[in-house]
Parts: sequence; C-alpha cells; structure tokens
Amino acid sequence: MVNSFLENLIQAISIAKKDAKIYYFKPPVIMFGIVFPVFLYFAFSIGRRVPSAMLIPGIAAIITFFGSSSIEAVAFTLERRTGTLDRLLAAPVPFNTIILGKSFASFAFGFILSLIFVITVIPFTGFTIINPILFVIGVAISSLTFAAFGMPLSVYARELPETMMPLNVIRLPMIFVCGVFIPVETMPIPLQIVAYLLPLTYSVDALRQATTGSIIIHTFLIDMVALILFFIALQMLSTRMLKKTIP
Amino acid sequence: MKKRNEAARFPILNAKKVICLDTAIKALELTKRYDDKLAVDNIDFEVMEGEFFGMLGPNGAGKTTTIRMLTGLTKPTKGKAIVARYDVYRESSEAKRRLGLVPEISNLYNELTAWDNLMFMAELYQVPKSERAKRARELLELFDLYDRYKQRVMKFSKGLKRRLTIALALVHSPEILFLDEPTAGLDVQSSRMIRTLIKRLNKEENTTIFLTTHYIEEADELCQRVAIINKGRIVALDNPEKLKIAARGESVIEVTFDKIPNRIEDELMHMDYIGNVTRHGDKLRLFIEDPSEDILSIANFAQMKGLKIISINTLKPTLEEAFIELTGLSPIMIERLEQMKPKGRGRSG
Ligand SMILES: Nc1ncnc2c1ncn2[C@@H]1O[C@H](COP(=O)(O)OP(=O)(O)OP(=O)(O)O)[C@@H](O)[C@H]1O
Ligand SMILES: [Mg+2]
Repeated sequence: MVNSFLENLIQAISIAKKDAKIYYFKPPVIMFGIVFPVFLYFAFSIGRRVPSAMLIPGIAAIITFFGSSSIEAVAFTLERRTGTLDRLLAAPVPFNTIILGKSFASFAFGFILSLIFVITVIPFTGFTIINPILFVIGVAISSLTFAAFGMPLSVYARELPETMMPLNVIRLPMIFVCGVFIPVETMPIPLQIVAYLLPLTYSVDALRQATTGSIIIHTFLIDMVALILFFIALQMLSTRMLKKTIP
Repeated sequence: MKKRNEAARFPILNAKKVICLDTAIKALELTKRYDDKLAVDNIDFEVMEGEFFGMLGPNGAGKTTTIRMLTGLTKPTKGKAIVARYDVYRESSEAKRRLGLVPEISNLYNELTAWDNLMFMAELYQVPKSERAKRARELLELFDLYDRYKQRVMKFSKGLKRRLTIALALVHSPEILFLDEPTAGLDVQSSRMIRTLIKRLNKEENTTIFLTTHYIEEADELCQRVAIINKGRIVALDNPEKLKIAARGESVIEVTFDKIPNRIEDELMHMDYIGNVTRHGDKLRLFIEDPSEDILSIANFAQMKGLKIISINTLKPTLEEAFIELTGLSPIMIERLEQMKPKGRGRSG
C-alpha cells in the first residue's frame, strides 16, 4: 500500500518533469501565464496610490493563479491533440497519478513565477515581507490549488480555445471579486458570498497577512485549510473526468 | 526465463508449440459500438504466448478499435479483453505493465530528444534506475538511432519516428507487443528493417506479437496465424497457408511455349487432369488438381506437338485471393491495395 503510493508518487514526479521540459516555454503559456499578469500589475499600479504592501501580495496571488492554472490547460489539450496523452493512459499509471503529476508541473510553474516576481519588485518598491516563511508557504499551497483549477476544464478539450475561453471567463472576474483591489469586506453581501466560494480569496488573504505581519494565526490556517480542500476536491473531480474521457 | 533459454537452445524444434501453452491475449465477445455504428462486432479469439498473430483488414474494418480495447484505451461496449492473464479493465495496471503498444500514428514527445523520450517511458514503466540507460542504449543501437539520441524528435523523418515509437514500446521489455500498422506509409528499406526487428523480437525474446496491417504480403510473411477482419467481424482465422488453400481449391501452372498454335487451349482442355485453361499474353494458365505429377504430362504434350517450353511455373495461391474472397472487396479497392503493397515479392514460385 505504502509502496504503491510511493511508486505512484515517483511516476507523478516523472510526468511533472516531462511537462516542465515541454510546456514551460510554449507561447500560449508565456502569453497567459506571464505577459498577462505583468500587464495587470502595471495597469493597476501606475497612477494609483495603493500601498505596495496591499498591492504586491495581491499581484503575487494573481501571478500564481494565472501561472499555475495555465500550464495544464495547455498541456492536456495539446497532448490529447497529438495523441501523446495515450502514452499516459496506456501505461500502468492510475488516473489520479496522471492528474497529480500534471498538477505538480503546474504547481512548480506558478510557485517559481510568483517568487521571481516578488524578488524582482523588492528593490524597486522598498517593499518588505514581515513573515517570509509564511509567505512562501502561502504561495506554495496557493500554487498547488490553482494547478488543479485549470484541470477539469482542459481534460476534455481538443483545441486550445476550448480550454482558454471558459477558463478566462472564470479567471478574469475572480480578480475583481477576490479582494485583490477591492477589500472583500467592502463589497455587497452576495458578492462576499461568491468571494468566499473561490480559492483566490483565501490565497490573497494569506499572502497579505504574511506580508503585513498582522497574522492572526487561525485565519491564516483557515486560508490554508480552505485551499487544501479546494485542491482535493478539484483533484478528485479531474480524475473522474479523465476516467470518463476513455471512449 | 526458462522458456526463453530452451527455445533458444533448440531452434529446430517448433519450441513455441511444444512449450507455450498459455494464452497471451483473449478476446471474449469483444464489441464496440459508436452511436449506431458497430465498429467491432462480437469477436472472439485467442493468441498463444510467443505467437506472431496478425489481424488483416481493409480501412475501417475495426483493427485499431480492437487494439485500443485490448490495451485499455477504449472501453468495450460488451465483452472482455484479457491480456497476460489479467482483465484489461479490472486489473488494468497489471495488464498494462506487461504490454507494449505501437499506435497507428507515432505519438512521440516532439519537443524532447530521443533519449529523453526513452527515459520518460522507462520511468513511467518503473524500469529500475540502474537498468534504464543500458536498456535505452540497447534499443537505440537495435533500431539504428544511436547517433541521433541527442536530437529532438521534431527533426526526425517519418521512418525514424516510427522506429523510435517501436523502441519506446519496448523499454520495459513487454511480454506482449501490439503494433497497429507498423509499416504503413514507410519506404521499402524502413519497412523491411522494422519487419526484421519484429521477427527477431518474436523469435529471440519469445515476445508475443499482435500486429494489424492492410498489407497482405506483410501478414503472409510475418504471421503464424492471421485473422481476417471485415466490417467489425472476423471472417476467417487460420495460418496463412491454410487460408490460401481454402480460398482456391486447385493449383495453377503457368507455361510459355515458343509458339501458340491455334486451338491449343481446346486441346489442353481435353486432357483429363486439366480443369480449365486461360491465356494471359504469351502465357497459358492451366488449372489442375495436382501440379507435381502433371508437369511431366505437359512436357510430353509439348514434345508431341513439337513445341518448346520456354518457361513453366507453379503459381501458388496467394493470401490476397483469400482476402478478396472473404472481404468481398471491389476491384477498385483491390487496385488500391495493389498500389499500397510493398514491392519485392513476386507471385510465381
Ligand atoms: N471515436 C470514434 N467515433 C466514432 N466512430 C469511430 C471512432 N473510431 C472508429 N470509428 C469507426 O469505427 C470503424 C472502425 O474503425 P477502426 O479505426 O477501428 O478501423 P481500422 O480497421 O483501424 O481502419 P484503418 O485501416 O483505416 O486504420 C470505422 O468505421 C470508424 O469510422
Ligand atoms: Mg486503424
């Protein structure tokens, strides 16, 4: 039992390494995962006097979000089109291991991208993170959850727009609902309810707490637990959907 | 392991028949329906361990669908697939561990090098770390790809891709190898190389081979038994020689005389062992029961009539005739098959 769990974990890591080599530098990934969040940053930072301690954790969360949820959306779709997905499906690898492997590849992309962003902006903004360890933990858990986020939509798709369109229809409004620019508490109650049903809200909150150091440990924990629950649910959903794609 | 050694030591014995009694592949009422179309219709067959088994059929016959059901890539609508004694759906990991698949279209990771493709498959199939590099090197050498191991697959020609696809399917030394039209669309050299390698694999490693093809000559050359499939149904299953004989009851002798006198056909036809005579250019085809005895009588006949025999051949029945008879293909299709057929093997023997 433990043995096969470990074996599957190693298989998942192999899948992740392979996806990293192939997909990290594909144009659609760079477009949606990097260019777009950078554009957002400038759009919202120039000419506004939002304090960087508020803005930067929010942007970091968005970068994690877009980075992590883009990789597999692209990878799944392209692999189904070229037939390479059959390699995974014909191999002695359980469905949940395939999904987990794909999540790992996405996780690492969002995680690294977000940390690069934060480290780059520090010298320009004089911005400081009071609790860097919790910040890194927050980015890591967020990346994992967002990695699973793009998956259910892309498991079925054969063409890139089939994945990217609905994904963006969901992702873009999330930026405005989840407290990146407008604090969740100031929004109307129905929107607040929607916000708390979306993982990005918890990610933004956690990163902001780590940055300002105003950590109320149990709310940080709640954020983490919420993100992990989202991860597990999305993981299970994607596995089921992948199973259903076998014609 | 023991089986392999014995087979290697006594190549003269038909070792496979004596030793290998186990079933490698079993299809039980295997059926696949797509909407209202029956792609595979209730087929049953068994392939023995170490056997070279072929499935021959025209386009759309259901070959790929059969292979996909046997390898766990498509769910049967009805029936069961058993591979290496495991149910492909209930014990899928166990079955999949023991089989290798070469799909109809080469599906390599184009962005990766040949080496990285091999390494990834080795990891996925849990080949022990200490053996991976050795196995990959062996396969690259076997398939004559060694000098390209650092190249990205993107730059490979169709033939090279096909060879690498087969090499990838062998990384984990599977007991059973499924090949879906391994030589389709390749030139003569590449096809021949691939055929030779598959043959060796079957002989030397005792790997069970399940191969689909629409090249009749390929099935004839390689397979111990051939299932002819048409419109989702197996219409015949036997060894190629028996299929040929079943398709044509009588043998044919083809003679060319130095000249063709009038009414020679009639005269020949009057001889009691000759059933029919047809003319093809300067050649005459004589349809007879037993060619071995009758060649002598034909020589006597020629002497009697003062004719010289320029050439005389026994035409063997071809698998093609069996195929056409059983699948009822139209003349246009036959012509197309002729064009697709690999060159180099004549019909007369
Ligand atoms: N995914 C699918 N959806 C609907 N119909 C399908 C599907 N796959 C195959 N078919 C149909 O099932 C039949 C058998 O197809 P299959 O691909 O198994 O034939 P084949 O013998 O491999 O032919 P070919 O020589 O062209 O490769 C065909 O009529 C095909 O149109
Ligand atoms: Mg096919």
